Amino acid sequence: MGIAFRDETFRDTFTYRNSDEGIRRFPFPFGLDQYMYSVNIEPHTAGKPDSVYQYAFDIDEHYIAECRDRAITLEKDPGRCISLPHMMDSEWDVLELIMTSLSRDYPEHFALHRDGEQWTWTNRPLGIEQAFVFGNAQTLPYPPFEYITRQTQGDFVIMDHRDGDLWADAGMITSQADWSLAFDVGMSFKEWHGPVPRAHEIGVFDRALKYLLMLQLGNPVRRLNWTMTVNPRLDTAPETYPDWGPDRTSVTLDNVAEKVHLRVELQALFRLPRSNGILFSIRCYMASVGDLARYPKWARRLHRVLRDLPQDLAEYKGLVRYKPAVVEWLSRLDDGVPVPPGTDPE
Amino acid sequence: MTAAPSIKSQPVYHAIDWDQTGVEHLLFIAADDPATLDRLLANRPPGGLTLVVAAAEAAERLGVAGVTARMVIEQNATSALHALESLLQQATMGLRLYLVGPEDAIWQAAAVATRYGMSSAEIRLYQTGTKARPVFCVHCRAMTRGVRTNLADCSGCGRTLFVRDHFSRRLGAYMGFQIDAEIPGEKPPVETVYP
Repeated sequence: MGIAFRDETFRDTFTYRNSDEGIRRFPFPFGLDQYMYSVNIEPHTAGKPDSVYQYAFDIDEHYIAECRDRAITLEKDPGRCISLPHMMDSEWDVLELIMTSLSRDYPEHFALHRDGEQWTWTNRPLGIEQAFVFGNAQTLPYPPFEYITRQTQGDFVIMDHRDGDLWADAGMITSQADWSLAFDVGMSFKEWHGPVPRAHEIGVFDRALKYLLMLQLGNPVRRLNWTMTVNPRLDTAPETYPDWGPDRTSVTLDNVAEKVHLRVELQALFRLPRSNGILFSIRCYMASVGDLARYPKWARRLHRVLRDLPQDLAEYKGLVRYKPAVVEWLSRLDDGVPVPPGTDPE
Repeated sequence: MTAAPSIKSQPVYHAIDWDQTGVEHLLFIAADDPATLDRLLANRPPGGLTLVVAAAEAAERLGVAGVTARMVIEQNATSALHALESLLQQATMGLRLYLVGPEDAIWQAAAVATRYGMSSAEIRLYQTGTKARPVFCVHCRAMTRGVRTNLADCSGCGRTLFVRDHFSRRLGAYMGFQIDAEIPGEKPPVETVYP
């Protein structure tokens, strides 16, 4: 059965909503009542059917609307997709990985026909049929990385592996949690993550880098990261901060349940075969606090995590202005009973 | 020694020395630092040595001291960068580059060298002189140079930017973002923090 794609917006009118099924499968990131950074990396193997972990690249009911929103952002600012000149091999690696994954996992929506270097890509939701020569960028309407990531949910960074480090040398970034590709492109792993508080001091990035340098082809890994966003806005880039910054002052106890969204990134890392680079996919999920709170377990846990979140993390994540309203609203749903460990909704 | 920066992208500079594996050495001087320069020149490396000097006091002092290296003297950092570029056009394998001066000048010089194919392993940087920052506006992508304060008006879009410690080596600049985007006019006092 195919996915029923929603017609919705992530700006201006903000008609984005999750279906009941969308909330149930939401990758709630808090397995405990307290949150702290850790190297929470696990193998990106096939998860439960209908979960966001079932396939390498999750496609859901927001697919068409997200691709449309990305196109709007790129139209306004082409600098959200950058690939340094030495990245062409890894661009083709990424195109191959995504096309083969989507056509294998969602055959009702995507198809890939290969005859030597003559490939034909079919994307039914977006109405695309494209014949091209693999390895010949002139045969595609965009460079290969931009071409395929315009048709995939989530942000993408390609990291070049050289000199014992991983360099963020290409990216398609239109739904980021407040970091700028135009500024960060070309950075080493630790430079790129430089602004993250606390994690450097407790050695998170040393261990993560060491681990990722050993990443093997065919054995991708994943982790979750999170923040919060006022209004279901994908484009919360520093570039457009003057547009979305004022939203942070608009939260009240009356609108917090609909307006404030938990924003979770399913981050996955794939070794690439030809270039030996690493694809870093950052798939963004948003659910309103009100929708999450329909599950009592999540309401209690989210309340406790936010209530006890260290101030420097709240500042880094930009929650300071409206976190009190979220905590107060959620506190009414938290009777204090113990919540068993784990992230499942029930 | 300065304290470790709170943001790990901010460069930390250690005292530089000659790279003994180099065949040719090019020392770019954008601010006078007698302790560093006298130490380096008292102990010259094997192979050829060229100095590009954009700091008047340094040029005069080194001239008086009778330094015998090939010396290109320029009036300012901009012309010194052009001089560096023409030297790099003729450079061969084995060249090592040493950049001494304010961050703005030495990272612009590093960018020129990178354009000519030098790797980071062949370039050594040492910050000295003014701590003024080049600031990249994340909104309009204009560069504002010589920023000595926590807040600065963007030379491109005019927004009041807060100057972060997050540094891009590729751009040779710190990030600036609009300080009062959430509540217009809500700004901390302006302070000189990068003398």
